[in-house]
Amino acid sequence: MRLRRILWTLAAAIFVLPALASADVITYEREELPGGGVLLVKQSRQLPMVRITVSIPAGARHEAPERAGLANLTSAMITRGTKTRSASDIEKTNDSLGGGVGVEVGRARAEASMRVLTRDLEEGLSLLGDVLRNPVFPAEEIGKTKKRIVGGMRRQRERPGHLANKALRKSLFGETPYGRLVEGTEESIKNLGREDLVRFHRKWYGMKGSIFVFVGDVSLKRARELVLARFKGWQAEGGKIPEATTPKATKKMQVVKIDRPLSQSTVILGNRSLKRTHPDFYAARVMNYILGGGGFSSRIMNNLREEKGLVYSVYSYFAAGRHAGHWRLILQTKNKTVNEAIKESIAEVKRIKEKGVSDQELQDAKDFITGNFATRFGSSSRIANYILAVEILGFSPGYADEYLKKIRAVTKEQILAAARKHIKLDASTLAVVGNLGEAKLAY
Amino acid sequence: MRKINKLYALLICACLLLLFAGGAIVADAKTETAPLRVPWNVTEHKMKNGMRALLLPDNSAPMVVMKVWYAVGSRDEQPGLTGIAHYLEHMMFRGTKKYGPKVFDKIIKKNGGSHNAFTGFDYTAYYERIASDRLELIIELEADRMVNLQIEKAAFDAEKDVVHEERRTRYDRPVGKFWEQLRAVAYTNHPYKNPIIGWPEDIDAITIKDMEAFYKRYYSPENAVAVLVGDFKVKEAIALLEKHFGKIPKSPTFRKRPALAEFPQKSERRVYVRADAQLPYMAIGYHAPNWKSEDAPALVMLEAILGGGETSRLHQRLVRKDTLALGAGSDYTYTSVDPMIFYLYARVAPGKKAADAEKALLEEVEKLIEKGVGEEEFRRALRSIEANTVFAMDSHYYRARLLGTAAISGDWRLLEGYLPALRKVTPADVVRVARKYLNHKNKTTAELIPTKKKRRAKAANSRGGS
Repeated sequence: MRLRRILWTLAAAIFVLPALASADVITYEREELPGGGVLLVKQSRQLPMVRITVSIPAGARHEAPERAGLANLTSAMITRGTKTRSASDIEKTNDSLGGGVGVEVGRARAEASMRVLTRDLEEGLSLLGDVLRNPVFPAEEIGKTKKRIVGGMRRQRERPGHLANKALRKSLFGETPYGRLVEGTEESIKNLGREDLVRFHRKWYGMKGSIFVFVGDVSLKRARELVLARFKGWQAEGGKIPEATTPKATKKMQVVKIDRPLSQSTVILGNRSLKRTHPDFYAARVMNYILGGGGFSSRIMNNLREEKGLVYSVYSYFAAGRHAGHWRLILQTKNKTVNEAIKESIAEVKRIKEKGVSDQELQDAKDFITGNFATRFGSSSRIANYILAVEILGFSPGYADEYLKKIRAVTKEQILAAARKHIKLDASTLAVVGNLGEAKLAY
Repeated sequence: MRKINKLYALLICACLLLLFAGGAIVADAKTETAPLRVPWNVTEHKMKNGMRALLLPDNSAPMVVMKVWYAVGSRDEQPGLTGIAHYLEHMMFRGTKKYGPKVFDKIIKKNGGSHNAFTGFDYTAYYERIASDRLELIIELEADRMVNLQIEKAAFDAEKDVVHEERRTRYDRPVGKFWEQLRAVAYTNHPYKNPIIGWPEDIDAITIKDMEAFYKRYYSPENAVAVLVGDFKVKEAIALLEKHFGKIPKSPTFRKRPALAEFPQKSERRVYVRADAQLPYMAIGYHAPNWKSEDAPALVMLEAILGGGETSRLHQRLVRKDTLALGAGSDYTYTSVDPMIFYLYARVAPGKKAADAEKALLEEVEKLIEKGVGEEEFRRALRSIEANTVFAMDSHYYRARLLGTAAISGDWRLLEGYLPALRKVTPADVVRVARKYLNHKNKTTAELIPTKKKRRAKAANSRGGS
């Protein structure tokens, strides 16, 4: 084929694919801290700034189901007052620092992060240590914060993607933390009181299991001094993580339909799937690139967008985490073409499960994934996210080499097996948000 | 965070709003008061055919980001052909005489690169991110599609549907519709009134002939700026640019974009947007000059003091004190070709009234004008902007973006002059520009009114699937 020939001549004539070693791309220092924490430092003197992230094992999975939203509310309240600083003091310091501390919470962990100029490093760490260790959770601020969270949840409901995602999670993960919103529900938030926050903070916010990441204009030695000065003796009570039972996998596709007066429908198809530490992850990653993760190089995008003009955006991915994982495909199309877009997507899934991929597709996918790796570290936030993920997953700082090696070793047979095993249409859920009258859904 | 709502509306194909920054920075660590200096280590190169290049070497990672900017955006569209700049951006991925369809993406991905493009009011830009030893590859591909684009009927038709889908994704939502309508009313004659993606009827009307003419006219080397940030030697990179772009002839139909000016506003305007929304939304827009005006630095400070951070006046009043809004802030565009709009906005909280939010927004403006700006809050705002100017440089991609928008808007050196210009502003200047621009005659107000609908999610087991 003409296309392929040109491609090969070009790639071969001008460029030789490099043997990438992680040492060329990303190295950093790791040190264990007293009390069970870990310090990760990537020094770079390019800019007079430092990005700091503190990741704490205090996510939604640490809260009881009837207290859904507690981890989130606790993290949101961290910056609303400490023993020595009022909410207003914290706001002033935050603004002076150019943003200051931001806190986010996920299902597994809470994350406090900030960017500071090198000259403000001391001030930044002092604030960070104070808010994480000494929050007082003023009752009046709790009321206001709850209202903001609930308001934010309402606003979210204007987004069809949010509604579809919520439906999918509920169907796949039921009453577990992975099946509900991190924010909880309006009802569960209402019932949270100050004591809950105090207890949650006491139980889970501490050195054990926490990860400190510094990227930028700071040495390991300096970072260690700063952390020890502000976090020495930081201890959480700890406790048992509430157990949650994942619902049984279904034997046929579940369909959730949500009617909205929109001109376009949003579709999410997904199934529970592998965790990030599963040995099949690498084959699954390459397989998904070919199926729906590779943008214009993916089969589904090529079929639905390039050939048929059905969608602007369609993609699939494995959301593979430490504790849970799922595979999903997302698309938007006008109501009238929903059936066709779903049909074509499912046909592509079936095709890869039945026939696997070609040698050429496999090679192209590997070339992209390995070649692209070096370009993923063009900012301190990307670097910080990467080294934090490596640590959370329990890999070593040299993981990049292992990752690239495993990607390169993936075979066609492994791809076929991964498609069959980890994408399960029978056990999947199809969520559709759109004008159902116009869509006349056949599913 | 605070910018998100606004960006959501304007991002379309992403026009950069305001944040603005500098280059490798020299900080005097000894004293806190010593100003940060933000020099940009940029080499500027002009080719014989008029094409310009801006090169910023940075060897912190073995990669390079290249963005090729064309000085053409929705601003330059003729009535009846809105959306053509963005639609053309889509077609630029559909193949050239030399490489045919689908090859562009394959070659770049095969080499581990990623790429995309975006269209704004003032520009269309294409970018690649790739290992630095493949710089020539992306230069060759970009040079090829500057001149060799082939528009085939089947692809043109399919892509039209894709653009309509993109439009639905962005504007078939309450907040998207809201900002679109606000702009449509705030401008009378300036093409900034049109959405970057175009009006649906116009998108339908665009023909291959229209697009070919548009492409030939605007995708001329003298209308383009290549911005490179990353791990390369300047001399070598220039040689590669010359080799591939340097030989492209000027387009005979190219004409410089004309000057355009919005007619002065004579009276207040208002628009109501009814949509299936969960909560109301309020925004107030005032015409305000851009970087070309001496008032611009003071407007940047005004933006920060009114709506810049957690301590900003709108946030304190509407979010913290009165709990009228989930978020409130302001937004001002410093870098653009023509003046844009200074916005105040409030995402109204559940159970609260849009009218109260509007009143609070206006009262805060009046208060600022009457009682002035304190030294401490002024200093805090400036300090915050300084820090963010450094933070904004923390990405190859973003630096290439800042350079490109500044170059298209007039001069990339704007970046170097930014902080020094802000440091000359006084609190009194801030009050003066607030009085001058944030007044009733110059105002357009938009209110999003949720239409109530009863609904329930239906959940059902399907018959089929497999």
